[in-house]
Amino acid sequence: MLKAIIGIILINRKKMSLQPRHWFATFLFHLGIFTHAIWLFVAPLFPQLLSLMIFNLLGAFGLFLMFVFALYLLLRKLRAPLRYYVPFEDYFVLSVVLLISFTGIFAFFEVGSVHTILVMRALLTFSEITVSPFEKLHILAYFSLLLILPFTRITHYIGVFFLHFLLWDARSAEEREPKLSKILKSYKVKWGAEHIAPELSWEEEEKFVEVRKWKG
Amino acid sequence: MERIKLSDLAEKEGKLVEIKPDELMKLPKPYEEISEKFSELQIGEEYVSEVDRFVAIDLEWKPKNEEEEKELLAKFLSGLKKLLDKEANWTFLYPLLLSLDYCTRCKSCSSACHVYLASGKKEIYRPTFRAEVLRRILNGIRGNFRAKFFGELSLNAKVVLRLAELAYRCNLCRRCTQFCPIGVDNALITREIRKLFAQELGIAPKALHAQGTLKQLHTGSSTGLKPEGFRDLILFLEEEILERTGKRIQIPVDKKGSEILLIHNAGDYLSRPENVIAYALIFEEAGLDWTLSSETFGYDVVNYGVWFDDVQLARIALRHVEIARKLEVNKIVIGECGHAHKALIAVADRLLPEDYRIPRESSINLLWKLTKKLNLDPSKNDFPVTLHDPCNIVRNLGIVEPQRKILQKICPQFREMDPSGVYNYCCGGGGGLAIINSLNFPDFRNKISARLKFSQILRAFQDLELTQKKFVCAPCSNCRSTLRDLFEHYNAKKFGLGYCSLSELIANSMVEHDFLEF
Ligand code: SF4
Ligand code: SF4
Repeated sequence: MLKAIIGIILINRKKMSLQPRHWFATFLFHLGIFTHAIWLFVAPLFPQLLSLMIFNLLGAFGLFLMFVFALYLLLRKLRAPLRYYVPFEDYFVLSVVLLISFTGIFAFFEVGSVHTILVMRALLTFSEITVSPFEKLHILAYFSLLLILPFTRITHYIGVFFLHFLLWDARSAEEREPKLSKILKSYKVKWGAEHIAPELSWEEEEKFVEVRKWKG
Repeated sequence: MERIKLSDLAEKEGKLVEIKPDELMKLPKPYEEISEKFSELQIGEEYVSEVDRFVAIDLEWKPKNEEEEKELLAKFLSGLKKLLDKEANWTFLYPLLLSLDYCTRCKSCSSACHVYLASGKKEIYRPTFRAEVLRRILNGIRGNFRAKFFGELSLNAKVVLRLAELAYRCNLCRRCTQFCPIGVDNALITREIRKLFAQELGIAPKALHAQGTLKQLHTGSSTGLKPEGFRDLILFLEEEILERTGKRIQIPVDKKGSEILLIHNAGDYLSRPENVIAYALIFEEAGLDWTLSSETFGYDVVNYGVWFDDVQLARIALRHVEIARKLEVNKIVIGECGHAHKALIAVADRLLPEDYRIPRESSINLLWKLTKKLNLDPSKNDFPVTLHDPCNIVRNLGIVEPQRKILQKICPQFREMDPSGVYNYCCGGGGGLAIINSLNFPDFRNKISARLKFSQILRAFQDLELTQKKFVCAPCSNCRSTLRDLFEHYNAKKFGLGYCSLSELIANSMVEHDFLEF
């Protein structure tokens, strides 16, 4: 276990070495997200923590990191030649993140984080509460993010944990077997080039002996 | 510097980019002053030379009129749909979709790619360039929202022609994949592009398709070697052995019920028989119960399908297993051939019916076990040796240590290159580029794709006398043929550079005479 963890850290250090500046920025960006998210989950559960100054600042600090490095990433993606490769999606998502962090920071200075947590509780329990202007914007931005979430690459936070299975398919032959046999027998090859018989199943195609039209 | 945009693919006339020799990555000593020139060969209008100056697909497949253009586009579109079809592309559909959807444009892959680096950072050689082209074309047919939100690329004949050609500027070495934080597999995307053209339009470089896989399925070997010819060759090799080592060895052929069936890359029999001889010497010395096969398919382990075609990949792999079943051997041992390792060890399990799965082992692994038993004399190999890591064997299959342990044991002056192991660079001939020798393509390989490897090799030997004899051990037939061309191209023999296989070094430390030829 320990060996595996050290291995992963070492591999990632290696990966980081090629684009160090970008890595530094994305690392702090994600650190900001995690800090803020943890704060967001812990705060309503243990309201007594909110009287601690450090804990109070934690949420805002996360937002601050998010803001700075989202801005960096956005500006980076506006530069040529990278911008030729970047789809509209990236700018959109980053802008929403900027909006969230920006309004969040302002709300913090406006009413403080204790109030924000109260607002969140009220939202979850459908009770009434007065909301400050920046809080309103903050909440709005949050919901727009939740709304677009499934359509964007943000879902990489799920997929990244299954990376290894997909890239190097480490299952044993036995694990693969039942499904594989079915696929080979029932799936049709379909491809249309001359050397392929499209109406056959994959198993038939593999055993196909006559090789058509080989002109040496 | 002029920047290439994705939209240029559809719009720009003439070449996408002009590659200039003086912009290439600089080579270390003693080549730092060399002035590079590209071949002057005129490429006819009938070939697709609208990408850079090179042509890999040596077919005349440009549409000549509007009708043909329409037909090309229609076929391409139907191919795209099949790429996304669960039945037609069950093999790679999920990794493809994930690779298409999750790239964060961090550019780590570009900094990892030797083609991009060696070319002097040319935009079109970025791993993400062709991937992004396919991504956007596919977005276009995957619904309106996707097209607008994730970007699309207008499609015309120029895009199609250029995309196919671009797919052959990559070694499929997966170094970019290894460095991608998200795990986006740009090599897989490249191969999917090649696959689309091969499986739907029948378009692929002649060396891979018409003279490669098709020929192999027809005659048994892409070298055209026939069973009778093979048996003659074996007789000739036995005489060679006698002459070189004074040992009278009978190479076992078609011995039913043996423990091991050894299949080499047939190219070795013809262009580097030393490797085959070395195996015979080692296996006989170790007293293995082994055999070669002289049946059609049984003497050539190559499987070019790995590079561009799933269907032919499966067909050839199945033929290999059939041979082993007929000979009733316990396992197949795969000779020093990288992509054959991948085809038979990694892919076959995932593509062949259950009763076709037979134990297989890498020859490198086996050699390591044998060197523990054999009586070897390291002083015979007392010259500088460095080790090249074939991508398919090392990065993709994870066979990293055996070859190192062997070399540490038998080569007192063994030294690693930098980087080494799974992080090593491709030789520049991976993905089929080593065997595409038509038109001006060797120029691309020797000057661009193999450039970083050459620089790595030179750096590994920087501290030595220029003319001292030194070897690059490359345990892969394909890599060796790339190195042969490369060294010839740069006249590297003058500076003492040679290459050899792992087995040859072992054999050299085993026999009394000098086995290794420079
Ligand atoms: S390393 Fe991966 S995520 Fe980064 S640009 Fe390349 S493919 Fe995209
Ligand atoms: S597979 Fe190798 S050659 Fe191809 S893009 Fe990736 S690093 Fe470059």
